[in-house]
Amino acid sequence: MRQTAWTRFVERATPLVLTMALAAVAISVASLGPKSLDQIVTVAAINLVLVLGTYLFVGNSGVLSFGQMAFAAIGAYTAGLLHIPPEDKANFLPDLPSWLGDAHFSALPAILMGGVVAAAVAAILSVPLMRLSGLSAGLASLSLLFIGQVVARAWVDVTRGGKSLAPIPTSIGTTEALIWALITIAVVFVYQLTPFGLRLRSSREDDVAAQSIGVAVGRERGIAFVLSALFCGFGGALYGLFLGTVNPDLFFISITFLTVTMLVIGGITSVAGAVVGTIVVSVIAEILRRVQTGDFFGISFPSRLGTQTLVLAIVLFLIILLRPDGLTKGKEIPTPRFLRRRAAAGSEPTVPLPERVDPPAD
Amino acid sequence: MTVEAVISGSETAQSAINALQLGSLYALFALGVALIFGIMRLVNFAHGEFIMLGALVLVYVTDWPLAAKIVVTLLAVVAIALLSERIVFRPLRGVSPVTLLVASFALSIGLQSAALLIVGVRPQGATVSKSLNTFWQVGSVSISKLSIVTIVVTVILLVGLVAFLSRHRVGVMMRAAAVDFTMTRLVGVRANLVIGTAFGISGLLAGVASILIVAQNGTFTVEMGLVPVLFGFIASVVGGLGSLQGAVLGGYILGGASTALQIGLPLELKPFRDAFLFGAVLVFMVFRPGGLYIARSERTRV
Amino acid sequence: MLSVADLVVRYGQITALDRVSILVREGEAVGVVGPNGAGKSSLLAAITGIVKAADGRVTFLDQPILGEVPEELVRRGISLVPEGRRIFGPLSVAENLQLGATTSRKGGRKAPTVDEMLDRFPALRALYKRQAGSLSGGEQQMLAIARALMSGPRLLLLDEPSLGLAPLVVDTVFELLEDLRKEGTTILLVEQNALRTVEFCDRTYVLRTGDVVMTGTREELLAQEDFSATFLGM
Repeated sequence: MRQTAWTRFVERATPLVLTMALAAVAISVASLGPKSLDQIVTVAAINLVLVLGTYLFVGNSGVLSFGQMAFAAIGAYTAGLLHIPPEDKANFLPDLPSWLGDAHFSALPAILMGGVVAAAVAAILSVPLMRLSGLSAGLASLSLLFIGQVVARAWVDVTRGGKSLAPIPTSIGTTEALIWALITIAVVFVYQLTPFGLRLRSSREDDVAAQSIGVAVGRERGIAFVLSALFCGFGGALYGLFLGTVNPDLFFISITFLTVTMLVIGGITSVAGAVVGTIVVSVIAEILRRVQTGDFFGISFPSRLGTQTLVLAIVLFLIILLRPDGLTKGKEIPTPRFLRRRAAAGSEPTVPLPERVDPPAD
Repeated sequence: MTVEAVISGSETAQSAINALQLGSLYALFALGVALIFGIMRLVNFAHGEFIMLGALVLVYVTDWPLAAKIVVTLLAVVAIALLSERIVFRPLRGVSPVTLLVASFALSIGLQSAALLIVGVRPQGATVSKSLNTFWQVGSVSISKLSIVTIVVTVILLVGLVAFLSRHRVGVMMRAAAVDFTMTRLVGVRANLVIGTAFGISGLLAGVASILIVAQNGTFTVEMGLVPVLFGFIASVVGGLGSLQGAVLGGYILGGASTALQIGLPLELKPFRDAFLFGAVLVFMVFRPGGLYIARSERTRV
Repeated sequence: MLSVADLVVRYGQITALDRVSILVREGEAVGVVGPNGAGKSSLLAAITGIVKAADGRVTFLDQPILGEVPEELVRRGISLVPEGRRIFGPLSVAENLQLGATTSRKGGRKAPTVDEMLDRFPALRALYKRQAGSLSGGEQQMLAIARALMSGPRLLLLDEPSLGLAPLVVDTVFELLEDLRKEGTTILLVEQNALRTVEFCDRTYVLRTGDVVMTGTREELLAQEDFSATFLGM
């Protein structure tokens, strides 16, 4: 019995440990490099939080959403407003209601509040929204993104609109971002193993079948949506406290493109995919940036504005062409053979998640 | 009739024309998107870039005679759309819709970067025809010529498209492909012909859109494709993804709602107009998840 | 005419066809029967180029055809009447038929005109302008067969043509197939209705879980106890 519990633990925990190790090693190796890399590494770690947050809903439910960055915006503005000292708020945001103007949170509570407020908004929205599914849902969720941007731009009393919410004291460095990324990996992974995660994943494979065995698909999606908003809120808050400024365009189309692309490049149905996609796209983008500025091991070529993104687009296309299911093919990192063999003795067979197959009706 | 009544009457007429003009543009955007989606399940984000590149062509030919400008722009955008299909989407036949969508992100970024390489970030001026920005005076109502041209051009395109789809051999193939693409190939229709034609028409619609937009704004920026493509998506979702009638109707509804909100919202809420508009879209989608026209079983998994 | 050798089709981890070999000679009517999930539809899907085969060889008129796109196979003379008919519902009957005639033909085959086809299917003539989706199941099946014949095929593949049809309509379908056979069209018929298939076809293959488990003429199969017990409940 102990053997079984242990082996099951190994079976389940190994992919998590390996995924976390991958992220940690990638990020720490990079941060050992020159000081100039620190910023890039921090951005990649925060992006990882956002990608995983998006993955938590999109990857597990199979419903595409372009709206998750609206929750990142909510997180960023909330945390920013709470973290700016009251005397600065009196200067820059004289029209804030006094309870908000006087509030002063240190970094961690501000970030936590950012996530919580985003999750609360998502909880309200999830009641009607979870009726939607498929690609229509994805495109309809663009509306969320739009609304977020319009509100951020127009609600000048609170957000300062296009003038940017600033100055937010910058209190996020590489270490904090890395810790947040690792925590997010762990939570998303654990979620997948809970009954909630398993039920939702079963509905991704076939929602009609899932409903027929009693899965309340709408409710399960709602739970994932709220959790996803929580982590996107954290990610947005981290961005705000890293950059020291938030503007309405920060969490709009570009970052939505970026996070969805990272997810698909890595493999949309696994945590490992989210991690690998984020690392690979970040590394490629950074290499290209350096080549452009002539800073990549002395390799450089004269280039104009746009070269870097053009090459990035081509590389992304080639990856999609060669690995349409993502670099991880949407699978978790497998347990290495030596661990599995020991585990196999006396373990009950674990039921793997069904893979997506579409054989023609027969 | 009192003076106020005359003024409000003329305002109503002008608002109606504005709504129709806006709706026509949205319908053009939405049609370009829906045509491709209906046949190959591709949500083409690069459609906005087709429009942007059309405007870029206009920057270069801005001193040419009007007819030449129009022809060159349309040909260029159609060519770009066809090349995009050949180079980017054809090798990806059969991959999942989400992967296709990300490929269209990549294409979109690539085309934007290319435009950036050519002209840089600074906005560029371009004109289509100065006379379009003048007005006709009908009684107390002054009607922008561009509004009328936009509406008329859109209607002509719609009629042409309907005629093509119902009468022409390839049009019938396209309708069949929108119902069941694999089956269409199994009766011997060449996939490349159907998809190529869809991209060609989509490019034509994008080219017309870029001419109309430049006629209105007189400028080119690298990011100018974004708003059209997003409104096109929203309109086609409202109408029912993949349905062409739906896309047109969705476009006009969006244009009408936007104009109505612009008039109806109190001054302090006007900056939030688009938030209300998209909020209304979400509410609508909740009550009718498939859109106005549910084209066919629309269950697509990630 | 059609030779399938060691064909393997996989969907992810699932093997739908495991080294299946089938031969169809010119002018023959060959049947493939088997229970649900035996791989019958996968066989047709692989032959017509809808799914990629993992391994094996398929030749048609001594030309290898694996890897060709579906439209090219129609051009060479293979036409499919798919399971569930898959007519183009929103299109008219006329448009459905015209679509069947869009292909260019290889090897100088003559294709029937729409008018000739309507002579063969007089019921469709009255429905010519109607939306195909509004037709009854039997009419839709006739339309699906007529559409497949519009390309003037040498080899006609049929996937479960009797599925969901009333017995009388099934009779009509088989009478039609009999006519086609007499005119020299080669037929590969995939069916769950084993008895009808075995009786109609010159030879029949029995598929089970991706494997050919039995094959023979109608007399041979009907004499086999296994076959009768499994498929005919006798």
